[in-house]
Parts: sequence; structure tokens; C-alpha cells
Amino acid sequence: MTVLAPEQLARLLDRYGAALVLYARQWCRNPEDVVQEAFVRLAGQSPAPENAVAWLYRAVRNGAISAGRKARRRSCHEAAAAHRGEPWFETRDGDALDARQVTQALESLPPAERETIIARLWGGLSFEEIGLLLGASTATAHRWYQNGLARLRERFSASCPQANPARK
Amino acid sequence: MRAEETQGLEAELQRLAPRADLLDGHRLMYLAGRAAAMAEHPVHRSPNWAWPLAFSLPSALAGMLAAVLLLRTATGPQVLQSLDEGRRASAKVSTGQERLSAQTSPNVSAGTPEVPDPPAPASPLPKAPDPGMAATAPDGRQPVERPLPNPWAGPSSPLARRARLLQAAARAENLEAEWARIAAPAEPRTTAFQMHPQAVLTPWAVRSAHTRGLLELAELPGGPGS
Repeated sequence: MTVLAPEQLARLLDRYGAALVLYARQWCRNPEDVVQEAFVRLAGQSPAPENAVAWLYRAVRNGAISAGRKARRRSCHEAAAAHRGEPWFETRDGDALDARQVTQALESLPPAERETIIARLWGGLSFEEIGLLLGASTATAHRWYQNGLARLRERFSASCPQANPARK
Repeated sequence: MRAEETQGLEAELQRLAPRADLLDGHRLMYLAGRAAAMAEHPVHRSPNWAWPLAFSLPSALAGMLAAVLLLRTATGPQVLQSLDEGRRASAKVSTGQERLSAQTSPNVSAGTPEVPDPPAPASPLPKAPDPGMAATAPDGRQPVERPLPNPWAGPSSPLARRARLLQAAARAENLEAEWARIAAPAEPRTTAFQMHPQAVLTPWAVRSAHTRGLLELAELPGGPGS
């Protein structure tokens, strides 16, 4: 009957907070609320889950899908218009890729590939954890990841050859 | 070549920082701490239905008691009065029957010792004047009275109570008609408006005598109907 220590929770928030917000942004307009609710629920878990990161990703995924369904039921067109406008990443001068362009490229991917890439690149989950999260095998998760990256590379090279990182 | 390109793209993508500007870390930690405290030391809160139940039960009980009190104040004295009238009517009927039997067969009644009437039970209510029993027919006959049914006794369903009330009203009308027949003067009326003093006793007799007198007045010579 031990809950998560505050220091562990703060460390999880610093490391995975933004990544979880990006992960939840695929489905809903208010990802911060979903992530906050997931962290609060994690703090109230007694005993604390063994793999807190996997638990957080699963809770955020379920909460974001549920929130997205509710938002679509309320105002489908309004949500879609607002969702399309804002980039998912911070805009900084030193970045080789444009945040808005990456956002559009990620939005154009199939959902499974996009979800795998976000969980892998910014969440740091293993393919096994991603497979468990998405209800697929590890090999399938790996294949989704490779296919998604290939699509992104093609898109970046076609739209903006100068910014193609493969040329570096 | 493909693997290098993929690794390069991965590295470029990982450099992008996800936006989380609306995620309030301080508020999140506060809420998380509260949730953790609630999980470690759960407060035993009363269920949601406890307070409404604690309020509604005494309210319903008070309402029931008020209804009972209102019904008792509305029906109680009338029931007592009707019971008292019933007792008096039954006592009078028994004395009237004894008188009639004494008139019709004096030999039989003379041989038997007279048993005094049992005293009427004391009533807590003041005795109301009984105009019907004070009247006597001109030829000395006594009307045979039957006790009026008590409409408040018996089953208390609304239909049964209404039926008993109607029955009591019909019997009262029969008694009035009997009174009018006995108390009416035997000789034909010669005066214009002759009202028997006994007819004043009841509202029905007053009304009928008044109507009859007006009709007779109208038929007199010089009247409006002549």
C-alpha cells in the first residue's frame, strides 16, 4: 500500500510531461487536461504501478481518445478547424525542421504509424511497450515505426529538399 | 544508406521539443499530492443518500402526524355527536314502543312488572334540543320512530360512507313525511293561511306549509289568481 513518492512524480512530469501532451494531442484539443488527470490518478494509485511510464501512456491514450470523442460529439467542425492550426512543437531558430511542417507531416501519417513514432521518439518507449500499448506485437510496432519514418522522409524530401536531413 | 538516413531523420525529429506550455506543473503537483494523501488516508465520507434520507424521514413522519391530527379534528366531534344522537334516538324509540304496546294491549302489559328504563349514558357533549320528539299529534298518536342510522359507523370507504349518508337522508325524509301526515289537522282547512304549530318544527314542513298557504291565498276571491 505505497503510493508514488513526490520526487518520482516530479521526475516523471519533467521527463514525460511534454511527450505525453504531444502523444495526447493526436486525439483531442485539450491534451494538458488529459495528462494532468493521468498524473493525478497515478498519484492516487495505491500501490503504485510497476511501470509508471507505460501506465501513464495507457491512461493518457484512453483519456485522450475519450476526450476526443466527446469533443467531436459537441462540435466536430470547430474542433477540426482549431486542431489544424496550431503546431505540436515549439518553434526555435536552431531546429532544422519546421515545427508546422513536421506537425502537418505527422498528421498525414496513418494513426498507428504516427502513434508509434511519437511514443518512440519523444516518449522513449521500447517497441515491446509500444506493442503492448497498441495491442500489437513487437515486430508490428517496429514495422509501423519504420514505415512511418520512410513516409516522413519522402514527404520532407518532396516538399523541401533543402531541409532534408538525409543530405547532411 | 537507408539506415543512416533514418537515423539522421530520427535525430532531427528528436530535437523538436513538444509544446506543453499549458501544462501547469505546480497545479499538477498540488492535485497529485492531494490525491496521494486521499489514497493513503481515505476519509470515510457518508454516502450521498444519508442526508436526504435523514431529512425526508422526519418530514414524512411529521406530515403523517399532521394529517392524522387534521382528520381527527375534522371528524371527531361529529362522530361523537352522531353517536350521542343515535343513543338518544334508540332510547326514545324504546319508550315509544312501550307506550304503544301499553295502549294496544293493556292487559298484557299490566301483568308484567314495569322495568324502569336504563338511564341514558352520560354524554360529554351538551344536549341539543330535539324538536321532533316534543311534538304530539292532535289525535294523540305517536309516530313510530326508528333509530337513524349512524352514517359515520361501519366501513370507512368513501363509497360506503356516501351510501350510508344517502340512506340516512332517505330515512329522515320518510320520517318527516310521516310526521306531516300524523300532525296534519283532520278537519278541512277553511282559513286562508292555516299553519299547524307542529309544522314549524322542521324545515321541510315549514317550506311545504308556506307554499300551500301562498297557493290558498292566491285562490281566494280578490287574490292574484282569482
